[in-house]
Amino acid sequence: MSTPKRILVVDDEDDIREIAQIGLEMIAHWQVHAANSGHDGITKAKAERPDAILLDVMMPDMDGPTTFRNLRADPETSHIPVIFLTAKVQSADRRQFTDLGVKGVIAKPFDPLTLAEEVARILAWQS
Amino acid sequence: MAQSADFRVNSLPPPGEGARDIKTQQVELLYTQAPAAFVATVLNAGIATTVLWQNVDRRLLCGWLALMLAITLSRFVLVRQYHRTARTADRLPLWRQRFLLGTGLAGTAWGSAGILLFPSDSTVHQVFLVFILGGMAGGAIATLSADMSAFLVFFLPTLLPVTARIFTQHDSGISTAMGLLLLSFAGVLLVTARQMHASIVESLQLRLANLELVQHLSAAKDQTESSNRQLAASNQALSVAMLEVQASEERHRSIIATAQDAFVAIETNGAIIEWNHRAEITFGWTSAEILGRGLTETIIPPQHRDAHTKGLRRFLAAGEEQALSRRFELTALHRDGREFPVEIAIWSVRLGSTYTFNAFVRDISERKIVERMKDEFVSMVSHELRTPLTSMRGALGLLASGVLGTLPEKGRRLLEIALNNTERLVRLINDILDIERMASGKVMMKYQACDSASLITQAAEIMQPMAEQAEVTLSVSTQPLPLWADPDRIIQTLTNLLSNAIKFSPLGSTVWLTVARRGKEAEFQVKDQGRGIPAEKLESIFERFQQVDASDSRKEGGTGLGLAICRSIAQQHGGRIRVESTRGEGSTFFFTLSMMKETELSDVARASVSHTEDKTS
Repeated sequence: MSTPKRILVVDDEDDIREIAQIGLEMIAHWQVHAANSGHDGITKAKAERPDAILLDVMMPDMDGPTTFRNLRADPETSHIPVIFLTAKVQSADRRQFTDLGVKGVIAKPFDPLTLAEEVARILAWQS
Repeated sequence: MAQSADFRVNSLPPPGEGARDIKTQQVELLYTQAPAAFVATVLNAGIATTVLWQNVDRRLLCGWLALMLAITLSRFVLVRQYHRTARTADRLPLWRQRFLLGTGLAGTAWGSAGILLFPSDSTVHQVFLVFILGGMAGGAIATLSADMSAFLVFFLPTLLPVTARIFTQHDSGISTAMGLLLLSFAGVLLVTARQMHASIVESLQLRLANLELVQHLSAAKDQTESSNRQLAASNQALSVAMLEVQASEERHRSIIATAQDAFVAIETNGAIIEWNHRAEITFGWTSAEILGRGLTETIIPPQHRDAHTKGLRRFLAAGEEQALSRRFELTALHRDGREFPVEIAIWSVRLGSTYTFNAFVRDISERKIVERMKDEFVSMVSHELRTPLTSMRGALGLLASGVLGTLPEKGRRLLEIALNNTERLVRLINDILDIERMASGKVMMKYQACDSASLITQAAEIMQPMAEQAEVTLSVSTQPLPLWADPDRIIQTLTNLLSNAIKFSPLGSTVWLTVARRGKEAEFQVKDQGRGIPAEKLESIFERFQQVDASDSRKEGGTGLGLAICRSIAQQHGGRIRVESTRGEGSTFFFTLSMMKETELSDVARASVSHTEDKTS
């Protein structure tokens, strides 16, 4: 990887955010920004302009799909690819999410060791 | 008349048979009357012999008497034979001829007396002889006139010789007068005999006609009696059937009246004709209020009324309707305006050219609330369990990877144990959610055209790394069979079966994955060379948390739900799953799917699909 990717992880669970951050930073040596809510995620996305956003689905106040729609509605963030992190593993749910326009869905629990690999595969990034 | 029945066929006699019957009766009469003639013959012959004893050559007289007795005895034997023998139509002429012969001989013997025993020297004795012979000839009217031939073969030989003898006597005018008297007497006898004969024949004809009439009447009576018996039996059966129908109707009425579901019946015009007690509770209308009113405007919500009317019209036009003969869910309208969910089963009954539609309707409001609560609970559990598990699994994974530094051997082993069990817990949660959704019919099967070869190849590719790790050879043989199925679910089933097979296979053994066509079905087979499954477990292993060995889930990391999920997937596809196994040799799992027409399968798909959404995120 020529330049390290910059990823925004949005999850209301501190532990999960941290695990993802450690995995992406230590294994793939990517640069990780973290946000603990939908609102925080939108703010950080505008400020940091990451290469991709990992977005939790079920969050209080503003859930993942709503956050995603807001990101898409804003020209500053609409181009940033979004991948959902979700505990919903049913294929029907996956289809529902991809129909929204997200690039992919990664099921929880995810493996922090292969998380970067999976993100790269979904977004077709060349390693 | 017994013998006459022997000649008859069942119904009316064929042409000529009536005449033959009269002949039979005539012969029968001849033989029946004969004994009287025998008695008269013996008596008169004895009297004649006694009276003529002084006037005629005694040797001649004795010879004549002996001849007469011999002939009479012969005739007596003949009559006895006749009565003891079964008379048949073909032998009738023979019996008649024999009788005529005997009668002719007797007549000739009497006639010979008129020549041989004629007492030419005594007029008194001559008169006596004429009297005897005339008496015999007259008596023959009674015994022989039934058959004129019989009468004549006796009458003529008896009287002609003595008449001729009297006329040939040249003594005085008395002989001539006596001859003439004898001739006129013979003429009177002949006329009388003919009249008698005609009377007998007529009488026989009447008798036969009567007999036929009686037989016809008897047959008609039998037939009437038989008809009456049948009618009585039919009446009895009808009475029993009516009682049964009444009992059945009463039973049905009581079942409907006490049913826990609402029962509603309508006519083709939509008017309600049946409404049980539960319907009153469910919809808020009493039967007195609603009977005769239209179903559409009373219990169907306004937004569904068009669909109902169209469905009814479609049925009446085409005679078929998808809604019939299956259970489905609808929204119903209560009298107070509240809408509520119902489960309904409709069937039609044809009465001539019209129909009635019957339905059991169950209020499922409470069930829906429970289902929703259960869904929410499952979603909540799913999310709340996964969240800490995600952190645990991630943290343990990172530690075990060594990126944060190397741990001592025992520390690494403990981490490995923690990680394995975390993953097992994740699988268990996934499987529990999976099977729970399938059991409640909440899994949306995404049916599409696919082929068995592609499904097998994908499943094998997924399981190949596991097989290699376990040092088990995965042997795949496939053929493309067209299926209408959810490919993800079929692959899930096949990988589940393969995973089990690999887990329980010894090092260096082989696991086979094949598919074959069995009639209208595709049959997948997963075969291993593992330890096998005891016979008593062949069924139960498809139940939840049922494993061959209780320690399997711990040792092999399974959840105990894999085969239950496989069976559920098979059932949702209208297929079957089963296993055959030999202890120590291995097991073969069979998973069959129908290769039905796409249209038929799409019906199945529609029926099994539920659009219920998961409220979790």
